[in-house]
Amino acid sequence: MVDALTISSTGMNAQQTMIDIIANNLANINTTSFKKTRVNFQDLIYAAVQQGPDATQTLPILGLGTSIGQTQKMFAQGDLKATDRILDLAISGDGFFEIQLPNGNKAYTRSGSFQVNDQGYLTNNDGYLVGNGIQIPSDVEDLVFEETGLVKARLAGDKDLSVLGEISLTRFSNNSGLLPIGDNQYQATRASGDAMVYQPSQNNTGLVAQGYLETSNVALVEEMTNLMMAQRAYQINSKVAQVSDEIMSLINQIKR
Amino acid sequence: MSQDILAIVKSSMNSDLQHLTNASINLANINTPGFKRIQSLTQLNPSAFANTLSDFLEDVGTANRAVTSVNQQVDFSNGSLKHTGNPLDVAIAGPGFFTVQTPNGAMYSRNGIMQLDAQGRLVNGQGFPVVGERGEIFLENDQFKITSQGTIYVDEQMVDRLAIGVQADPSLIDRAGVGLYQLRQAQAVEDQDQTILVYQAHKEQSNVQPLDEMLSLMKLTRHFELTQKMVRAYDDMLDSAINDLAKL
Repeated sequence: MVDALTISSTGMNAQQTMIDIIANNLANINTTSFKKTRVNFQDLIYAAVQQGPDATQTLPILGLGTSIGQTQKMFAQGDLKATDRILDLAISGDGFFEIQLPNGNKAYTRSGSFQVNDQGYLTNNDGYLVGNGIQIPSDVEDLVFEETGLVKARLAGDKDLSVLGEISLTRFSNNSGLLPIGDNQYQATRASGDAMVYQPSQNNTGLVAQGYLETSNVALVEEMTNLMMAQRAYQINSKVAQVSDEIMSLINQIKR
Repeated sequence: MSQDILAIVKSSMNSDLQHLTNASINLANINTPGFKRIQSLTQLNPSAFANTLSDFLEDVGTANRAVTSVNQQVDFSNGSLKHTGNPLDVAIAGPGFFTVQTPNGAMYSRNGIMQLDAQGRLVNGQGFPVVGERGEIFLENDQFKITSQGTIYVDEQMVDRLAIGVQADPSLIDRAGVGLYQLRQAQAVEDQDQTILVYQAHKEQSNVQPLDEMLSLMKLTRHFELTQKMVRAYDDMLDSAINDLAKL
């Protein structure tokens, strides 16, 4: 059998995955705080081969194509976009907001488009509690999220701001190890390391910016050039498959 | 006699197939960071330089030895560097390799796409630690700088220097797959070496040249076609020798 045919199919599969990933990145180009994914390829295991059935000399080892080494979320900072909505928070730094899932687990997100639920608690878009629950009375006149996490409000009739609670940020040793669970949320895994909770600004967690949202970190030009590269690489691998087919056809025609 | 001619043609066809395999491996890895292309050359076996044709044919016939064989080498020339902006992507320009600690001992790699693991340890894509001169490297976060000599600084404090191995003789470098190499008698790079430069936030692209591989594909297809025609011409000759000659 001509090895080249199977090798070129590993190449086509890899490029196909790359195109899928690029499509996902491009589809989320306007998703708040979306983090792009990157594919890292690696060459496959090399096997020692022998030439001919009775060869005495072993050829140098031979590779068997390419494979996906890993798909990696890139957590580079996205730009902050001013929205002027008081419940929109963005993080400039490496931290994550902690979210309480209904099943009791914790999820982490950088998407800070928050709301207040019917009991006055600060929740995310899906209605899950942010942090340990920050209750905001319905009669607040002024709500301030300080960059270092303190939540202050001026209650009706008061002159000064009073502290309602505190938002803390969570960091991980290896952000790429986080498990994306959809809706801009991630869960900690063994690869990401344990959640480390800090006050904003400490240990590179970053600052909280009120009235801003973090935009997606997908760069259009980069995705487009990657798409071209993937498409052409797919094409050239399909040429190899074509050549292998031609060679096999020639072999078949030796005997008329 | 017939055995000999077919043996010659067969070894030539096998060489073409080997070239095809190598071109397909190279092209499959056209987007693999740090990939080094396989360079393959057809070479005539020394027995082909026998004094006379009959000696030569005898040699081929008896030993059933290939007339041509494919000499495969890894082309360690630099791939071009691409800026990625990710501080954990590191590339080497020049002949060095990153040192990676695997369960099978120290291995070497040109693929500098790194990560921090759950303990904050610098690891490669497969999760094997990328080591420095003092052993494993621990970093709190991606706020660090790597100089062109491979020295890692966090807040202006030197942490370690990437252990970069070199082996000038390519015959002492074995490919182990997944971007790893084994270097026999590897040497550490001197601190002042200016021929090996480390670039942070860059990745080294594959050094496969699509044009070369495409030309190689064309060449080998046509050559294979030609040798196939030779087999058929020889077959025709035998055919008339066996079937037509006797009719006279």
